[in-house]
Amino acid sequence: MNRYEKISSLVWLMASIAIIGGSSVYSFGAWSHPGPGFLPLWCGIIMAALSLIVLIQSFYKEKGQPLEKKEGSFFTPRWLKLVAVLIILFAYAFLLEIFGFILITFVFMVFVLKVVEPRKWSIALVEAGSATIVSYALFELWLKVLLPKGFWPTLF
Amino acid sequence: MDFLSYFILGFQVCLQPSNLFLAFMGCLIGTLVGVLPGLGPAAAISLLLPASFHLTPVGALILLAGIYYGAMYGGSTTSILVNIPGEAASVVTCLDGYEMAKKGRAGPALGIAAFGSFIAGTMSIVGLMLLAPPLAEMALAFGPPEYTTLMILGLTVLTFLVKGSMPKALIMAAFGMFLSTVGLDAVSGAARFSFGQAELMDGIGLVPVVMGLFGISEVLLNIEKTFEREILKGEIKDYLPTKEDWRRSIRPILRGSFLGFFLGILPGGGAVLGSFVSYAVEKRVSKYPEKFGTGMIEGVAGPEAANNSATGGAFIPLLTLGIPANVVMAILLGAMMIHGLTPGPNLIQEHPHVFWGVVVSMYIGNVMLLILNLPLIGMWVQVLRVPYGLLFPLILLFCLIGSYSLNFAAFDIFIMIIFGIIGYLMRKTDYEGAPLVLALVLGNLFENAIRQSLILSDGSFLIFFQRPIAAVFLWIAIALLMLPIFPWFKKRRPGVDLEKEK
Repeated sequence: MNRYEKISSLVWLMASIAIIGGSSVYSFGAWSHPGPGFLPLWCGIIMAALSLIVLIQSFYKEKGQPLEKKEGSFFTPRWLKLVAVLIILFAYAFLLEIFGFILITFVFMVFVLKVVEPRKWSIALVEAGSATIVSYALFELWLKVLLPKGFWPTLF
Repeated sequence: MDFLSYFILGFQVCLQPSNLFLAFMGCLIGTLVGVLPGLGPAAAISLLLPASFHLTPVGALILLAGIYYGAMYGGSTTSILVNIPGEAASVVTCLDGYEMAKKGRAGPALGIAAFGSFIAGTMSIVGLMLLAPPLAEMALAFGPPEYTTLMILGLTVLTFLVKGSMPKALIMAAFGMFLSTVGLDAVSGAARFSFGQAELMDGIGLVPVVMGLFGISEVLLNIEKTFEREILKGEIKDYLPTKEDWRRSIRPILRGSFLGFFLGILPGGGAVLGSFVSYAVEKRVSKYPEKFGTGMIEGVAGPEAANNSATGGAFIPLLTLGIPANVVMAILLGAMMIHGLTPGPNLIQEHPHVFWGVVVSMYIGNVMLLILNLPLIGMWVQVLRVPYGLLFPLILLFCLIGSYSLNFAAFDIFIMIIFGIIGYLMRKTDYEGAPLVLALVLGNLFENAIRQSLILSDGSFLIFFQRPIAAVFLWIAIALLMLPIFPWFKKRRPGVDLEKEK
């Protein structure tokens, strides 16, 4: 776990350096008239200082750490499921406006249901179908949220 | 207008059928969300924000507020029956509540939790009614330096309370503050960090961030685990606590109500802190402290009262100063601004029907919740039986639709997913999301305040120390930041788990 402490604090350190760099593009202004770069720069500086502290702390913690603490893996065996779900989520975002709500939601639900917990195709299809219908009714018909129709209307 | 007429105004607003219905829906959804582990009030309010756009401002607030205190009621149900807290403020209830359930006393535990919550909720609303208007008056004297230091204090208190290291929490706060600067700068017109994307000109929306950090990341974390839930089988009889139960519980309830209310007012305090402190207090004043953890009803009555009265207290800084006391209030602040209401000292004067309508709806909501909770417990238990394999995909779907419907832009969905990943990684490495969100919401207000302060003082930071109220806030914040350096105090920090890891 300590390895990930170091990695995460390094990531934040790099992020803060990026923020500092990015903020310098915008005018800092004067102390009596702070400009757009004022707050982002200070945020970056504070983040950098703190991530350094966390990084240094992680080196000290190592020395005091008793070895009996069992190091579990950061990514559990089920992490493939996680990646699968993330890919499906991104795909949803990309394809929603192209193919429309109903089709994409149905396909999405079928895939996610199958991934998260094993179940038969028939059950997944039924669950996905009902979820799609209920959410369509709830959001489009009742709450009047205009859900994307995709390219289908252009065909007719 | 005197007090009574304000009250009547509130009733007139709240008793309109549409608002009554919304209060009911808020309580129902809130309880549901509180019962379901994995979805907290923050996520639920975020999910329903888009839907609330079609409502009037008062209606939206009534609905969303109902979800908040409803969730406090619902959270106790799962804590007692399944030993899984529905949300963070109910963690403490698991300790003795579940033990009581194991001894066949689930009914009285649930009953005392419900009644205690009702009493506490009512008391806190009275407190809100009495304190808010005068506080708003006082706050009219607040200038930019006071606002600046108050927000610093709020962020500091929150970072002080989180589990894990304070530096990490402060990094989160700074990052959240940075995120708030994305978009058009109101003063100079510079487009900051927008990378040419039109959608980023308005800034990174609060709702996709919150849905990602709390909703999506929660699901991602849970996908990795396999769950075994053991729901207490058997009938739950006698919801009504005995006279003995009442005798033992009444003082904890009263203590919890006071504690929770005042801790709720404190920015960063809230229901979670209230419940923990109440438990500690009850243990300390009890004649049998060693029995805590084996089914002491005081350990349920006090914390449950505290977490409900904290909700009333938490509204005070929001409605009087425009400063959110915790994450949920932060989201409500965002909601109010979206609806065109500017929270702050002027809110009560300019929109009295909003303030009083919401206050009265909280009374009515508390009554509804009492009625909803006890008889419907059977139903809530059934809800708990929904398999996670179905629940999580549904939550994901809800998040996707919700984030899309904000601006009808797939871009918001991307933001949400990205913050879901960030949130997942954060929770794996012990970085808390709450300071980030609070800073994100306060960011723009803070930037304005500090800019105006520096203009006032001509660039001198001494202004924050020269004005008395601002100085008080700032010194308290500094003290909180220094404290963890002292090893003695390090052990005594509450170390509260704001995101209910399980």
